[in-house]
Amino acid sequence: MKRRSLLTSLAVTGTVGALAACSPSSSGGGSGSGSDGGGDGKTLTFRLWDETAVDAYTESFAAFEKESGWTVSIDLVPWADYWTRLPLDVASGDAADVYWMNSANYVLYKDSGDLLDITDVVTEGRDRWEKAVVDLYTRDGGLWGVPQLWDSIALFSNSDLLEKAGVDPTTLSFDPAADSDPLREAGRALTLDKAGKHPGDDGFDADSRTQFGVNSQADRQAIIGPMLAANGAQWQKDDEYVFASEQGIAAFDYMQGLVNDAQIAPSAADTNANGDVSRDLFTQGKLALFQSGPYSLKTVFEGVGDSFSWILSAPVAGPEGPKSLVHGVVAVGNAKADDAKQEGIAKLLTWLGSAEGQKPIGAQGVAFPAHQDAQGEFVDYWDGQGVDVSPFVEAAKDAAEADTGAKANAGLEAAMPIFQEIFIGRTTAAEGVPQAQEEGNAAMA
Amino acid sequence: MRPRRSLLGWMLVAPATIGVACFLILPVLLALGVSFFDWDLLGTRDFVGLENYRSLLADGALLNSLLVTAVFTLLSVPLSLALGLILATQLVRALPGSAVVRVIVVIPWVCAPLALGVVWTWIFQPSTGALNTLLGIRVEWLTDPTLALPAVAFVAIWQNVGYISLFFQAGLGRIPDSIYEAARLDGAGPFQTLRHMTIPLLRPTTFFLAITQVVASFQVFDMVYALTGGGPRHRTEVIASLVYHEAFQNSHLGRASAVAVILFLLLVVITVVQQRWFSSRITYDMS
Amino acid sequence: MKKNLARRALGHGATYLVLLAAALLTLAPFTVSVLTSLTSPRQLAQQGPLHLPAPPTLESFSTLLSSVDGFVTPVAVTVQMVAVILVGQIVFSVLAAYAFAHLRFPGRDLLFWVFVATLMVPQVVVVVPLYLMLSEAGLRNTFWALVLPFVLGSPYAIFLLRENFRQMPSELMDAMRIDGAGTLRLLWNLVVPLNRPIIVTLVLITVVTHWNSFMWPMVITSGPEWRTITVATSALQSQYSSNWTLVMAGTTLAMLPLMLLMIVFQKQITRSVGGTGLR
Repeated sequence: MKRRSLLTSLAVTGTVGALAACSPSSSGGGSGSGSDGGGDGKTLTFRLWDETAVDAYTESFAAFEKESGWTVSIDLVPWADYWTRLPLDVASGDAADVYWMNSANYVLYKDSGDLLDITDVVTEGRDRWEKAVVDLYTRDGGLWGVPQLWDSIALFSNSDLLEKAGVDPTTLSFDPAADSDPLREAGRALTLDKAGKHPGDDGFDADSRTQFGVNSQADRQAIIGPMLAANGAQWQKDDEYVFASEQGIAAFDYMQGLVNDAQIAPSAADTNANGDVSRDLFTQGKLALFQSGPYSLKTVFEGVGDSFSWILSAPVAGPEGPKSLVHGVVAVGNAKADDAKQEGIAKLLTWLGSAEGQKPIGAQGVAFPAHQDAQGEFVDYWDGQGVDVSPFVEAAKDAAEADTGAKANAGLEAAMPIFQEIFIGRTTAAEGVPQAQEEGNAAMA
Repeated sequence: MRPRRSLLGWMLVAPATIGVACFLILPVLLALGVSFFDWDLLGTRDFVGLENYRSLLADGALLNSLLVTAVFTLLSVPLSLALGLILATQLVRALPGSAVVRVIVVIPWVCAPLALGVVWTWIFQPSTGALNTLLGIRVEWLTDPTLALPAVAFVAIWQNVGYISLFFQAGLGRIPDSIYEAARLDGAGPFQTLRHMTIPLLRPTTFFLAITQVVASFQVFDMVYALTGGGPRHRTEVIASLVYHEAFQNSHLGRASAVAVILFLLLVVITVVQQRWFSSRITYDMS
Repeated sequence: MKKNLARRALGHGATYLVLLAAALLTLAPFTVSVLTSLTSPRQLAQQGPLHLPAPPTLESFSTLLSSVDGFVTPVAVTVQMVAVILVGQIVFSVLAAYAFAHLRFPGRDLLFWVFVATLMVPQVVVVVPLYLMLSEAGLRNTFWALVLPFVLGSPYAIFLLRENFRQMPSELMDAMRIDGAGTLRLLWNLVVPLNRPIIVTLVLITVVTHWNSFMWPMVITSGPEWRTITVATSALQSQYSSNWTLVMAGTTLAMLPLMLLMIVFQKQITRSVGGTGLR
């Protein structure tokens, strides 16, 4: 009896296996998200890392399909995996036909001949693209991506908490050389433990903090970049890090001090493990000042709801004034895709570079579209929601440089763990910053 | 008759032989070949001789990983064997209810190390995780350089103890009851019995487990990937993790292959040495 | 007499203490994971991880099962992959093991020695060259890339099966062969039934190993089409690093099928795995 049932179950497994062996190969061609796309050549693939942008692109591609007859399928790869998956996919020929790229990574792919030179492909409307982004992706006489969106940095503040503590977000500034400054004072007033005490009070218990003043964490774009620039430190020069200057070390020491000495920023143990901790604390009403980019707008807006009111203002000013980092994201064309697809790729890139193609990115409130004629859509969208996003536009005007270079990503991968150690207080800035510069430069060499 | 039997034999082993040749032997040879090249995922392929091996030794990455793997092995294998043995001695007493426990403790072994790693990452979160909340402390289990490796080893032990106890239970089942009976009549207490009879009699099982667990712990990857990704600052960068990072994060296929070749040689040495030792000391029936 | 009884009670107490501790420690992480997956994100943010879901919600599971890049495709891909590998490995391993155990052909012993030697090859050593080989062959991100390296049999299974097959009396097989039974019939009617325990064990081990495999599927597939359940779980962790309710729903889905399998086949697993010396 028992033997029988076991043999039967084995036989059943066998049948399932045989069926399964047939089904994948038969379904493989149809869905078309793979590189070869099966029989119909009228499908293109598009890859990006930002989930909030998926709906905007879906809308844009629907219009594109009507116009050109090409359908586009979207492949979302999370940021944390994006840059480890991409080289594998590019090397094996499985890269998407058109995909998102950032400034820290594109040079590598451009050098290996994987990217289309946009100056050959897109002929119309190039002069309406945001110049800062075009500059970032212009190298060796070519332009290596179609600008899609850009972001800068501003300060989100919880108006309810600030009012209660009597803090005006537009007057915040920092000065590492001074014993105290408006940022640290405001942060102290805004930080509370379970017993309602502020840092520095007798019996203040940092482990039981229920409310934090400001975010300071190993975040290259929103914190490290703006703070270093505002303190007069240069990040890189000719594809080599130079941030271990006197001002650079002072800025890092100041940033970790907000966490470990002033105790007004969330613990680095949490922010190192999960970069979104600060954003979540802000939406929960437990963080008063949150320096971040437009990429946080949607999550904050939806998360906060009407539990408190919040506004945007310029990033915290340093001795050099308020500074922001401007990042631009582009869509690159896969130069090694099938010849049959190149025509579609050129059409898609042209579409993605047009105001019409970028409109949904702004109109859905995802980010500032890189086409200047579409930017108003973004401002209007957020105006409609009651949020004034002009601080982002203002911040972009005199911005610090973003990472670029053939191995900029490898450099960041090497330096960031050391920055995390500085923020957590296990390594001093004086020791760690030069070490990060050295290891980062070694990784980029 | 005879040539037909030969043909039949070859036909039966053909599929497996093709599989082993194509997907095990050829890749090993290829790895050896690639290890002599500066082989970038996206472009350059230059022959550089032993440069990859030299640079791996020079920049300390290889030594660090060997050390991390060795410490991980020393932390996890002896402890999981000891705990597995203790658990087995209690399970074989077959008290009412122990059948349920026997099943429960093996559950972690059937679960994907990756998924378990993700679950434990959540439990270990500094401020929001279950462990710190329960204990009312704030320890950075996975990001503190001194704690990360022990934490990873702990999860590995947690996963393996029940599985290891299965082998000890089988081993204990092979020890005749009459021996214990005699010991009890001689007035031996439970600890004396454990020390002077059970442990020596279980030596074949222990040796077998020691070999397989050491070999397995030299290859650990999924769990580390989910828990720490090799960090903080390479403190949990086990050998497999180094291969993965060199190959697929830094695009250095040559260096990655060199690490892989060294790992392979190391495992061959470990296995041969242990096997020699093992076969000269005891006879162990695998079935 | 009384002293003996007290001693026995104490002994039982100690045993139960150990067993209880083992059971609790084993189950605690699973409990945390399941409870988190049933909690609403809002409740989790407010109350932390150690509260019972109030009320329990299946929101995370429905999100995972309904979204486009959710868990439906990975489960289907994983089931298909495991089924194909399982059938291939068992069939080809039985064939080869039988030949190694009972047939004489030139080169047999040398070949078997080579098979045993390959037992020492760790997966991480072959992952880079296999990636290069299968990419070159244009097979990356296909179903075949997932199964091809494993479907033709495993040296480990062959080794174990051969040990078992060798213990079968050859008179029995000779008798059947004289009856005129073909090799396949002989295998199916005699060898397989006689060695059922080891084959069942191998089936279980194969299912567990390949359902849980991660590194190879991660490297050789790309995008949602051929993503296995472990790769999907890892992607979930990367993407929703702060949405633990969703991530825990993912890990629960990834682990549940094998836990059920484990409970159904508990006898086979607890007996045969320990007894035969596997993995």
